[in-house]
Amino acid sequence: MTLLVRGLYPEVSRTNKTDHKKFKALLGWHSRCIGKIGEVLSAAIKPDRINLNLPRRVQAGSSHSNADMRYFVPGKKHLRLLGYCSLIPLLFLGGCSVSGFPLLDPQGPIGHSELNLIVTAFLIMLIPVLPVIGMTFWFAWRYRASRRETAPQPGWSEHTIELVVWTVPTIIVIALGVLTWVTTHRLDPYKSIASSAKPIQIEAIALNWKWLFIYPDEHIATVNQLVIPVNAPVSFRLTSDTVMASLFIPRLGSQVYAMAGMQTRLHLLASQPGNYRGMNSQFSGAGFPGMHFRVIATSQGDYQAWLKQVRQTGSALNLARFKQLAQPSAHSPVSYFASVQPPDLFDQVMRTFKPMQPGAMAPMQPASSHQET
Amino acid sequence: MFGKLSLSAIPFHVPIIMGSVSVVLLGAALILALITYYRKWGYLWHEWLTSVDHKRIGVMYIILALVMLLRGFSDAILMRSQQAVALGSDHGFLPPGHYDQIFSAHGTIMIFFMAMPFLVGLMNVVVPLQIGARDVAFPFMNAVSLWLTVFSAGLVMLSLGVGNFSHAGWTGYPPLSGLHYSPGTGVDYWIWSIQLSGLGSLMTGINFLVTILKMRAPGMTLMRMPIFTWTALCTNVLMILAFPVLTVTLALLALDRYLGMHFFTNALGGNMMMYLNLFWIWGHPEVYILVLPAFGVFSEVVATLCGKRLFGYTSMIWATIAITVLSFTVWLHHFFTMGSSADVNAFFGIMTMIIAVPTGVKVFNWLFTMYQGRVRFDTPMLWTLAFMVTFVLGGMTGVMLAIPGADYVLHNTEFLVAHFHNMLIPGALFGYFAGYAFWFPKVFGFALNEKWGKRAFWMWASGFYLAFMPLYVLGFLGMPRRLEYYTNPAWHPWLEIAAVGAAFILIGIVFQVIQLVVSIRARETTRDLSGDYWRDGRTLEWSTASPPPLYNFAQHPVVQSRDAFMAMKQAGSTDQRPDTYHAILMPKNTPAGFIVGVLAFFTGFGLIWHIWWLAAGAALGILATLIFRMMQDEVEYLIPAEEVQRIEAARIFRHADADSYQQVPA
Repeated sequence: MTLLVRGLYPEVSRTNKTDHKKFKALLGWHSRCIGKIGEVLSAAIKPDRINLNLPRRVQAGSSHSNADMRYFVPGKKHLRLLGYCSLIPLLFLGGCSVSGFPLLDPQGPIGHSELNLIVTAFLIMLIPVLPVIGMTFWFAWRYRASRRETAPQPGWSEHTIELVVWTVPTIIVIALGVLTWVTTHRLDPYKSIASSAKPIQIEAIALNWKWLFIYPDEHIATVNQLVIPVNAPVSFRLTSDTVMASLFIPRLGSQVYAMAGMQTRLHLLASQPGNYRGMNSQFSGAGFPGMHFRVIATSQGDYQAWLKQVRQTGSALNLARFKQLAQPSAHSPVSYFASVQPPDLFDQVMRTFKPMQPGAMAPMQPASSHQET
Repeated sequence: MFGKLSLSAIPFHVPIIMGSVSVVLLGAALILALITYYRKWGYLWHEWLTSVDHKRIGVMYIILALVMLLRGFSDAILMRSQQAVALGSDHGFLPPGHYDQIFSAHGTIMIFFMAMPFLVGLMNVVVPLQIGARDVAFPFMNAVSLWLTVFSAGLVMLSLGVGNFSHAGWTGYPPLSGLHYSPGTGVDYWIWSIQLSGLGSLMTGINFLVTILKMRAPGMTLMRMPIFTWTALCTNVLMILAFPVLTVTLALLALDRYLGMHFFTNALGGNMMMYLNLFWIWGHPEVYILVLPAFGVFSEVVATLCGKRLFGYTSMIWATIAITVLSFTVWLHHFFTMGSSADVNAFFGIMTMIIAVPTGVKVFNWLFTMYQGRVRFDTPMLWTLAFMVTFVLGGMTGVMLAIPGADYVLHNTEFLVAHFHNMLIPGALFGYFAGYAFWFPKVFGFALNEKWGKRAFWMWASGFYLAFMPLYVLGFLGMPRRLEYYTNPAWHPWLEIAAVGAAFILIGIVFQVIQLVVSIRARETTRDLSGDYWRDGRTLEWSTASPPPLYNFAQHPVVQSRDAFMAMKQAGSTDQRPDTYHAILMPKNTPAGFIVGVLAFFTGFGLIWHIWWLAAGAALGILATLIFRMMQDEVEYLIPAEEVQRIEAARIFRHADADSYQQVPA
């Protein structure tokens, strides 16, 4: 089983490959996986045993006719074939331009792993799904009532088949279960991304209906625009000043909810420069359709230049300005803040909703907040 | 005096709302006029509104479901056409914010007022007949359940013209559904309509659990029960365990809104994560409440219309029980993105996948029931076949969403919308339609028109694919759900295709209406005189007349094996008549159930609009009605033996008459 899973989920190298090459690599890799699953399955289902136990169909004249026995006994060859057939939908998708599909053409390792996971799970599930669809049409047609020559067997049942129908889904679910356990830990949004580059810290606050991004290390902030350097991990802290929201950048991968009075975490990385769509994907009221933002992934040099530009052109973000920002409005224009006062604005926003911590008599107020209020 | 209610609550200035209100009012006026014209008020009151007969209650449930299907579908077609045009600076044709109410109403109506009444209606009609009982365990409570459901649906309909409906989605997540972010009465409409119908569902669950456990015909052991009754039993267990959670959750939300408490608010220790957990602890079992009875219908249809014993009966039972138990262990998969640890997410992901095993077993069992059978392509079988093909696709995308790593990108997108429609339309609705066509001749004594039924089926099936496959694609295009308008042109073509799919489904629904009209007009040609309309009926409901007499069975059938009626036919014992008939004790009709429903409506209305005297008065009225009803001693009456004999003799005569003409139903 470990062999199976290891085979199913190798890290496909993505560096310096064009889309097309990547896709070809993916295809080859998946067909190998399917072949492997086919071998395991055909070993599990012994064809000769099934053959012996299948009843002979009784002809109308009650004579047994060997020529009429056309039972489909799945062998290794057939399962392989099935595996390759299951690639057809993928080829179909590959035929259209994948680049238009954010989830099929991710621009970071998290998104890539998630795409791999989706495709792998999809292919594994085709193993039971395609035969079921095929058998539905086949049985319905083969045993149609208008076809007079078939005599029904009203009492027919078969324990071997019952055993198989419990076993096959179980095996597939075990495979998917192991895959799930491994990938859920690997793709945990709270887990930081290993990289030689210094992580960019972002504190994202969901407002009605816009996103405020604070760069605590740079002491700047933006509204509805996130600029990040390529290949540097982005480490988000998320909270909300209003209802629940969900920070989602489809090209980069995972989304996580932002909730008032609480902090959630998210780690992403952009490996390609580009301008990506980001949004709140959790319905949050009237301005929800206007709550999206742009993510600009640039080179380290451009990023530094941008920081400089923000520091020069941006206004100051203080509590008064924050309160103004928090007023409901949709389609808010991008704005830059050259300074953030108090520096722990994120924590203060979080604390406004939880003045009474369990066990604490009075809220803990940091010194800086006294100057502001 | 009238709380928050004033004339300004009626949106006279919004043409689109006033248009829909007038359509609803015109329809209602037309029905009332027809009843008056044909002088049917007395008939309606004595035979239907006050009835405690499970068959009539079942029929009324299904009528409610079909009416609400029209309403829920109108919402759907509005959403589809809105999204098909709302690109760029064009924000569509709906008034701002109206889209939010529409998707909230669509979900609420389809789950609580279409699917639930439909399945409860089918259970009402079929379960007592299948187990050889004369009524349910608590016939009066059954009527109360019905009228609570009907009048809470009335509250939702009322919100169309008086005030607003909730805009917080059918799941009503706080803090958006809290007083601070939703100060109007919309969320209150949502709370009280669901609360009342939820009470009805809970009572139905109790009623049918007791009925199935205590009122089976002699000899019908649990492992001889028809499969639909088994799925109904498991559904009832789920209702009893899950609905109280919903009731409490909504009550806590109501306390937040009415008494300024802070269970789920942002401030003062409130926690919306608690709401999400509680809501889905009810919400996920609810999915199986909807789907399991449909699985039961498919099992009955496949066995009957393939002329073959159900393959793997015992497997099927254990699969159903496994689903029932497992359904309570998966709720967290609705919010993998809320920040749970990897261990927790992985656990719930794997539990979710485990449900795919018993579900897969069921699909294989249906397949192998067809194997070596004689598959008849009657409408119920077509729904079943379409279900099998389509449902496995939905199951596949469901397992994808159950993998937390995949859910992190697929969650909250149109992929999710496509997935749950892909489960509930084939998995629940197609099953109810199959059951509707399958048992229609049993209930009314004549059949539905096959030609229009098949036309409707093809429109529905192709419409489903056209409407929902594009949503999967939109998921991969990163389109979030519940968008009133959007700026991404890449989404537009797919939304247009989806709108075409909705139009196909609309045609399917029109065909279903035509089917009903045509069938009623041609009823004399499709009379079912044998009681066994499909000729291959296997279970006890086919052993009695169509429509069944008031008492269902003149004498209690004795069950020797599974598929009791088939065994009787094989033993040639179906024509045996008793020498003497006995008098039968039946429950009397009562207006109390209807009155409770009306008063519950006013209680809800008073609570929604803060008209406290109305709410309190109506609630006291409910209490008084119930006490009055409980003090009544004469709640049953005897049908004399002669009357029973007369009814039975008439049936035998009709049947023999039909046989002599060699009349065989199509």
